[in-house]
Amino acid sequence: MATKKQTLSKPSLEGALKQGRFAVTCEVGPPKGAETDEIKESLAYLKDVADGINVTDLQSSVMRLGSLTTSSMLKEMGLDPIFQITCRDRNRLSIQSELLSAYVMGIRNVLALTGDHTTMGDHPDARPVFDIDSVQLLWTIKRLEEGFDLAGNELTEKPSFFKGAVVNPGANSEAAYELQIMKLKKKIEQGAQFIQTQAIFDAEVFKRFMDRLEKEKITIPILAGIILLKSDRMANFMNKNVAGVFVPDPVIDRMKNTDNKVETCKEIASELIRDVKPYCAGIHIQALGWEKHIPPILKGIN
Amino acid sequence: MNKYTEIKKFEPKPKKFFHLLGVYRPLYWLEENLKKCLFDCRSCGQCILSTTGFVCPMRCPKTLRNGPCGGTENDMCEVNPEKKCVWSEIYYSNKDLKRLDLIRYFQIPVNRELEETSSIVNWLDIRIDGMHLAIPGKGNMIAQLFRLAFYIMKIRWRKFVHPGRYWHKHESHYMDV
Repeated sequence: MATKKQTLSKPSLEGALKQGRFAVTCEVGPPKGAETDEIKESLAYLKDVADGINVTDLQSSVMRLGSLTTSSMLKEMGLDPIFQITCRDRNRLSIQSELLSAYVMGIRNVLALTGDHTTMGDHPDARPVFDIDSVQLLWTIKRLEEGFDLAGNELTEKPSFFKGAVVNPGANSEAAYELQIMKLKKKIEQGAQFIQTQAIFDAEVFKRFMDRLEKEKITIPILAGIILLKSDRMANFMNKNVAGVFVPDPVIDRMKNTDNKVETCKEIASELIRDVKPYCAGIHIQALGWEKHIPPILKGIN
Repeated sequence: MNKYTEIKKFEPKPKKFFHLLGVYRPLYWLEENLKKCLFDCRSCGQCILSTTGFVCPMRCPKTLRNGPCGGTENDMCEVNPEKKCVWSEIYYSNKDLKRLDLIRYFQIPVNRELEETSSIVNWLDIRIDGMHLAIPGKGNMIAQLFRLAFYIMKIRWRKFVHPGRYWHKHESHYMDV
């Protein structure tokens, strides 16, 4: 009886989405180095609130501990990792091999990304690979699940994954917006089962995006991306440097004129979550160091 | 005995006349230089120019063939901020040519063994699939091809005669169509 209770209360992204619950995923970035205590500290806050936890794969092309090892660590701690895999540093052989390794370690959720270019990170002199892109990566995972690799050879055992992809609802030109939707349709055709979006700060933009998706008859679960805004300087930095993220002026003014940055940040995040909740199947919160503030925000929503 | 060109990997095919080195080499030379001049071709050997409105997707720093990454800001590339995003160029060019539905095809991963080989010969040997020059069901094939060629020549002529009006400061190094 004790073991049955344990497995029932284990977090699972696929379970949460299938049951129709409002799913919450968080994000953890591996450290630059071989010590893992800091990650375990932030995970302690996320243990009871997150259904799935993204493990970023060399985010912004900065060299860090690998996503596969960290995901396996999370699996051992009883959490449900979402293994992010990018196409920047790996050719198709390495990608297929890592997917099989992830399956053997018990990882079932995969998020397929193209990845930031190496010139944006701290090793700009490295050679970017980009052998396949994110749509072809989803196709590769589908082929592996059917029991074949990309060259047509049969595998000894078929893996099976819960596949995800990303989309950017804040694209600000006609070409970029239409192409994001076209690429999203391609990703769904090639087997994406859930979507996580780039961070939004304006619920209207998200609502317009979801209306458009409904017109295109896209029904798979979409998790809206939310970033915890730490200061107005961070907002200006994101407006200038991160593509697709736009913080509107009212929000920046709120952060500038406040005395208690933590409280305002939590208020902004809670309002955003409450506004987008009716339109999406869940949210994906990126805390960037403020993991301990996530549980109070989520408690306020429910 | 006549010498034939060997394009690696594929099922053995009967040797045709365009595999003869005396025919293949001038054909490849012509195709490569024409495409480089007009479209900034990167000689991938798996040409999908006809589906992308004659803008080469291998000019993208990430060589994406299925759609843009999420890094476009105001139609500018995030890796080279002075250049226009190649996929935005593809979209606007396809919109002008009324061929937007051709970018919906799924493109398989690039085959490195076909680099520096002639796409026309690869297409004739049915090694690649990308040449949708004339769309079936939209009229006579020859008429479509001629209309396409005249449209490209018209745009090129305009850009040559009125560079100030058509060459913006942030235009890509190669023209849109």
